[in-house]
Amino acid sequence: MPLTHEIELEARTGTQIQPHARALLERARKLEALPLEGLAARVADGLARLRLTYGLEARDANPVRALLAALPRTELARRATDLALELEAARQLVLDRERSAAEVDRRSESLKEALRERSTDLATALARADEAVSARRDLDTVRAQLVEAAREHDRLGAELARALERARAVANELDAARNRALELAADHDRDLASARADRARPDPRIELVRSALAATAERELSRAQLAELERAAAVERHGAIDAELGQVRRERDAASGELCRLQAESELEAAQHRSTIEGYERALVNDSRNAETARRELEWRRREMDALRAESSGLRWKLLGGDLAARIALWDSEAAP
Amino acid sequence: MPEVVPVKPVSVVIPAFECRADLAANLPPLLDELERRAVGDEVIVVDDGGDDGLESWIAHTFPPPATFDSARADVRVLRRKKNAGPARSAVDGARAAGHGLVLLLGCEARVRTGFLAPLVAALDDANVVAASPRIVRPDGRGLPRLVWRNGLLEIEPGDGDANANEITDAAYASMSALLARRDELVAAGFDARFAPGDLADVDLSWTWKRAGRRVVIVPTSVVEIARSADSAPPSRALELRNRLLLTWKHLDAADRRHEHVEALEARALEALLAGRADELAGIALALEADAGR
Repeated sequence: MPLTHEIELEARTGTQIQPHARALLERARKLEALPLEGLAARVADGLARLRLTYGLEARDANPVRALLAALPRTELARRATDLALELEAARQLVLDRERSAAEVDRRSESLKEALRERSTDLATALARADEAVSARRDLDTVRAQLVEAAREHDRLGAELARALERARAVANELDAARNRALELAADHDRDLASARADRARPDPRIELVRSALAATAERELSRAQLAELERAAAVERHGAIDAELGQVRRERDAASGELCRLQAESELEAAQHRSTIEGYERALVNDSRNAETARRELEWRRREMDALRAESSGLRWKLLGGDLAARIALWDSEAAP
Repeated sequence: MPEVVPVKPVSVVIPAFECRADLAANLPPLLDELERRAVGDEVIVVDDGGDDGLESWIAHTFPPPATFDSARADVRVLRRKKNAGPARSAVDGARAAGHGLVLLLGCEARVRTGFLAPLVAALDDANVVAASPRIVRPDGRGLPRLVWRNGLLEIEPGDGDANANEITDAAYASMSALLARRDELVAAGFDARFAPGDLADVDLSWTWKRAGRRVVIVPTSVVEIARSADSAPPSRALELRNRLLLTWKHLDAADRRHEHVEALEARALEALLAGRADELAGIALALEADAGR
């Protein structure tokens, strides 16, 4: 059995229904039992009156009435169902949006994490790039040094080539001399042969040939010595260049050290001078003060001496005056009967 | 020479409809408080046409003092033949009051020690027309609040505001515990259109405030409410009816009136589309009551 309205109210709110309320509750119940369109029309009429009471302009088409006119009860029910469906769809939409939002949040977190990792990798890569740039600079320095060394090598090579050229020229000359010597030797041989034929008489030309042969052997020896000297000269030149460079560097370092030392000494000396000057300045200020004090004291003593002089002068006059008064008193006493 | 403080006795008026259980629990602490004051306060229980033999029960449970010297406050019963609701009973009790100050108290209200003296002191200010204690509900909340929202007056749960110590102006004084001057209360009365249901006390408070008087809450005075008052609206239709009547009676600003009518039309349309007949009935009841004004 369904609960009555009154019992239901009491069960829900625990409120007593007092007798004086029953008439109005009964009226409310009757109104609620009216067809919905009739109740709404009654409300619409009352609201139109309320508009007029408040001095508001009447609606040309009151929204409640317009709706009532346009929608029969079945249509109202259908609209209510449609609205309920729309409400449910909207609720589902809200739920979907919430889920999407949660998914977006999750992705956002994931992206943030990935971004953090990328940031770390990027920092590492940047550090490596810095190292590479530094290495590249070192490489360029080494390469420049190598180029300089190659230039030096080329220069030395050119000098060596020129020396060799000169050596070749000397060798050619020696060959020419040898050829001439050989020709001479042949001549000598021929002459020797003729001389052998004439053994009985020693020939001075044979001595000349012998000495020429001796000169040839000496020239051969000189050529080998020249090549050896040239190699030694090249080695010595390299060594001399290195030694000179080292010497220049040492001198530069020594000059730099000396400069620093001289600078420090000069600064120290300047500080001492400054200190001395400040001492002099203080002493000068003190002397000025002392001089001023002495001047004032001198002035004061001069004034005091003038005062004493004046006082002594006054006293003298006073003393003379007193003496005169004593004499007058004596004269008076003597003249008295 | 010490200053003589004038004694201001109070007539406590309790509208009662078949609430013996509440009175059995809540009268003793009230009588203890009045006995401590010992200034000749009185208690008037207005039996609002109930059938529970309240008069004889009170005569038996709270007998008159045995001697005239007893400080115990006298409890007397005023019986209405026909039930008319707590507002009407309150005014009847005030008319019968013997003292110049009247404390309206719901039978569901349980006073805490020392609650009355601060209330009486608050009425020393002649501009204060009514003083209400801090009312504490079982859930810790205070009185419901009325708020203007989207063109309609809405009722929301209030907060306890237990930290306040100063007397402050209140939105309204509840009939559950309200101290006023007898003559001013009787002269103003409660608007009969709000019966049955509640908000008659809000209506009276707002009427007073619009006349330039002050309605205050005294936080150092505390009264507990153990359950909903009997005057709570017995249906949604009646609750909406009274809320609309209160709105129409006190809504003066033209722009708010316009906003309100538009909001109410929209609400009626929504109720129609959703088939909420009780809401339409509530609006119709309010319109009927307003038309008969």
